[in-house]
Amino acid sequence: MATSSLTANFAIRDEKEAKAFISALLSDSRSMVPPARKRNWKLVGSVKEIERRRPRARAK
Amino acid sequence: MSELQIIKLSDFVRDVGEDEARKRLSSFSCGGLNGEVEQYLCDGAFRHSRKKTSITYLVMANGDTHNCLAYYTLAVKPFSVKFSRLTARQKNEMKDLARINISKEEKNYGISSYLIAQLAKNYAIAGGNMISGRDLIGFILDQIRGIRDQVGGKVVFLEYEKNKPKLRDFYKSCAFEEFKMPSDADDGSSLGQMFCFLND
Repeated sequence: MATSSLTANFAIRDEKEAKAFISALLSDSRSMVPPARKRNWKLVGSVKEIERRRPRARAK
Repeated sequence: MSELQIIKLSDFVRDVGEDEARKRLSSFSCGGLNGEVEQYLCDGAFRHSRKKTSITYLVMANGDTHNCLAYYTLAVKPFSVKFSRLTARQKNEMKDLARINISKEEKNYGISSYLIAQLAKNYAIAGGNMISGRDLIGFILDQIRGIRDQVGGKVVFLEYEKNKPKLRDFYKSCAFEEFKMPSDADDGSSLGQMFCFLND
């Protein structure tokens, strides 16, 4: 990963690469991305929401 | 099973204040794997989140807002493909899908993509092993699918350092494919680009 990728301009210039890329883009059959393993993920909107999930200490 | 919470950096800053947010994230470490990624979290992530040019997300666990397990940054990124390089059939099929930009030099297809600009686990805390890179990528792609379902798009791309073949192999195992698309900020020698196509 590089911070430059946020600001840089990208172009596929090579003929072979451009053809292969567009072929992949146009294909509908590619569905190879594995779904995320079912985990307890949650997108939250505030720090309080996270803190509410703090496990409670067990009573002695 | 641990519960993981993901919060936008901008929401985190709103709730705890920027100084406190910087303090809590200052110990984030990739274990020497990539200093630039650590540096980005200390500086660029705050600026870019403020300007909404990219959005950084923090991964927390079990209600702990002091230890960030991982972070990632997403952005919308356009790129171009040279029109002249395509077959006649591809040009025909692309008519409805992408706009042709005509500059003085040449015709290009402008294509939008979702960029995973940063992605890092925090090796400085014991809980760093609570998530795997694969789970993190899986969650990010699920999140992008949600955005895709709202606004469209199917291309996700990221850059990796070519001198880290293990990283390339890891992304390949997560359905990313390599295409050479050097940026104007790199001579093409140090960074590689990988794509995945969300059809499902």
